[in-house]
Amino acid sequence: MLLVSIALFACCMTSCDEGDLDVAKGFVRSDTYTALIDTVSINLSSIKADSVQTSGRESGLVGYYNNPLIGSQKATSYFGITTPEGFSWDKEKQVIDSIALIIKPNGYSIGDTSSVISFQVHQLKEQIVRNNSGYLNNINHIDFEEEPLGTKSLLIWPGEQKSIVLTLNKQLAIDIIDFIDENKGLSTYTTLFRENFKGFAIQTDTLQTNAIIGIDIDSEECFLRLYSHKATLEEQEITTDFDLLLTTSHFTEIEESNLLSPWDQLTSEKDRLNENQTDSECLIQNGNGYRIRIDFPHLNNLLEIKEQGRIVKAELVLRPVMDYIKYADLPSTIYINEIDKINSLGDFLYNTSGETLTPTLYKDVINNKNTYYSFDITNYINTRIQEAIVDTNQGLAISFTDSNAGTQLDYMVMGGYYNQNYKSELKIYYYYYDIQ
Amino acid sequence: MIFNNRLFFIICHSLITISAYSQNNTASPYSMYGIGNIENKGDAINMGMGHTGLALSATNYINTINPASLSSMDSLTMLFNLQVRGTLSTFETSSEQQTNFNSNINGFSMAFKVNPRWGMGFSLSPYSNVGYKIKSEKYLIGTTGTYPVTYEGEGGVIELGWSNGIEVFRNFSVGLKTSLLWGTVDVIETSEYPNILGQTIYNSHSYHINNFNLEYSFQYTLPLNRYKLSFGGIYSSETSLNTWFKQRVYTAGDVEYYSERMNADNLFLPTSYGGGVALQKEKTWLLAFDYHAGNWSNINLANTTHKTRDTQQFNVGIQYSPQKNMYQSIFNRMQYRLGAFYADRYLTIKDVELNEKGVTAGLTIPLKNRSLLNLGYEYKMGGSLKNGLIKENFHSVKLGLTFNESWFRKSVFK
Repeated sequence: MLLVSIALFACCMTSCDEGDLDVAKGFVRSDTYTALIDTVSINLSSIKADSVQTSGRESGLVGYYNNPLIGSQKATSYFGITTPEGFSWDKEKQVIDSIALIIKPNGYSIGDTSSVISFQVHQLKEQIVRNNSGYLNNINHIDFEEEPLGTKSLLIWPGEQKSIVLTLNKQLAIDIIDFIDENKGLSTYTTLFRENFKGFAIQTDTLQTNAIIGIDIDSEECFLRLYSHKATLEEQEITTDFDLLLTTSHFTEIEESNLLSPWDQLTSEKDRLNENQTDSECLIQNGNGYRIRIDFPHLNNLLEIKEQGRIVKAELVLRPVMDYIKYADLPSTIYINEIDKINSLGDFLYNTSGETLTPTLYKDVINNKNTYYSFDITNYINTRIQEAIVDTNQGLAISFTDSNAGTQLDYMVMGGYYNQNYKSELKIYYYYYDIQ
Repeated sequence: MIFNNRLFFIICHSLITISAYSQNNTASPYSMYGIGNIENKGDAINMGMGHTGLALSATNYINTINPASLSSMDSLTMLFNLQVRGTLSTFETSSEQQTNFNSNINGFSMAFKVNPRWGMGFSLSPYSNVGYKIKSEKYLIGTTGTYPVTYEGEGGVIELGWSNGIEVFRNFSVGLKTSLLWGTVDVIETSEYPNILGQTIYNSHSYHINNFNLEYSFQYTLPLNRYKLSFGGIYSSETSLNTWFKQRVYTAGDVEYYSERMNADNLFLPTSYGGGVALQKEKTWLLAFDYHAGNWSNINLANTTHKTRDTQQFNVGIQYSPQKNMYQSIFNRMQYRLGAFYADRYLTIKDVELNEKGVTAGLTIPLKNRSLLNLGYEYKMGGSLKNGLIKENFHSVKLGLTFNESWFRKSVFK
């Protein structure tokens, strides 16, 4: 009997099920519901950084590009120069052939690369000196001689990475050799050299050129080369390379002349150019520091329903204006930071795993209307509505990655909240409790 | 008095197990309403006879359907009864099917005679069961999309009963059962958002229910030569069950959004009554018929907007006992049963009046010391496919062990 009892007990506690049971609506009474809330409008505005660091980068920019939307932009790269160690010159036998500045495109370009790019190399009138923060930026300018040391016009196709030899006036080589001959051995030789040969600026003309290219800022690829030969029994060709002080002195100056562009109104970092002043179009561009600021003027509305439910998802949808950009050129990611009342950038937003929040890019290749970046800002909005009174002066900033700031001039125009075809918006999916 | 250690172990285990595992039943999707599916009373013997029992006297088993029957117990014995049930259930919609199996201890009872006219018993058994897991979807308001929602419920109400049956005068007994009803019903609604990659939200309600319930009954037996005609009746008035619940809203990461304990609208048990008649021929043939009615239409169920309606239930059963001689073959000493039943369900859902009907069978195998092993089988159909509802099929087996302990027999020789 005991064994039977134990057997009964053993089989008494099993339970299993197989299969799902989907039932029609109306079978279950449930007072919860989830709704897309459209009362939380957003406001987009364009902002612009006072400056963008362009020194200490792995690449620089050279060229001129007149963009019909955002105006003309001109990029000039600046370099310092120093003497090679152990340099020697045989005055009796060695003869200067030529001198050239060698640069290498890195494959980046923007603008019309089917037209000729005319490079101009100028000698600097002043030494390149970094600012108190230890870097140079896009608005810095160094005076240079008006007459170029050398020019060269050529076609550079997108993606091309073949070195360009910019032949300079031979007098520069003569001056360098004379200086070295006179001053070598002095303890201040290097300093004196830099004072005499302050460096170069590479720019392009603005008539033929309508493209800006990127160049490698790498001492293996970018240098000043002196070509000479020794007149002995058998002519001996000699090349001597002068370093261009890339890490310490190179920077790119980016000049804008966008008088016809609505974003030209931005003159200070603290300015906001509201979307209603720019046909509900806002600009992002790294080279000149354009960012988009997003404000939530009616976030307080959520406080009224805070006790009634919970945000399931807050999705920030940003729609690029596809009239100005090709699908292939859409950056795979853009970045989102907190930003305060005076446009000072705060921390990145992070996802629940503690990683920098990045969007998902959805491409609507067929209809061309519903291409958008989607940021899941649920945590951010949930945090914001925990504030007793939501500070509507706090917002978010959208920008390209910092790693290519000052090294590219790509741009993207984002539709604002009131843009009819490319509306950016905040979608809040709200779960309403069935609390009594 | 010889106290049986094994019995003590089984009793203790039963009490713990019924309390703990009565919440593991998978009853039916329809159990989401009110206090769930109300269990048929009685043990495997009653089950085999179509759940009849109002008019059945009980000399060597515990008839928990009618407490008045306790007065007919053998005055020298102490009866213990343990029930185990296994159910294979199939739930169908027009497009899908779900199969469940569950088994657990279904009840424990004990009874003894206080004096020759007064029988007393205690029982612990599930009064109702809640168990379901169904999927549905809701519109994501403001969009054209939907999101999946899963509803799960488990638990039920347990009944601790104290029954007394007193023979008021010859062949007429009255009964009173005082029950403590208590239990927990956990209901979880899970909302998922795969299309918008939103976080899953759980909304759980844990209902706590308790109160006392009274049940009055009688039994009258009329000897007719070789036959014995019995009548039985039962009545229970409307009972309010104290109800409160704790609600929690939380995410998959167990981040709690909301947690509150609140009073809920009380649940009610309706006024119910029933009558039964049984005809027995020389302890060989036994025919029984029961009728039950419940005034559910007065009851407002708190957790549904579906209508309630008055219910009726008809049960019929027959038992055949070939011989009682202990020297006969085991098959001749066994009892064989058949039965059938029909019952209204108290809900009308989407204008569909639901009911259930089934057939039953059973047998009793005598063991040593007048103990019994009772087996009952039931096939039950319920529900409907109309208007998107759910059809149900159940195969249930109930196994009952009745221990007959001679605690009150005095030895003549020491």
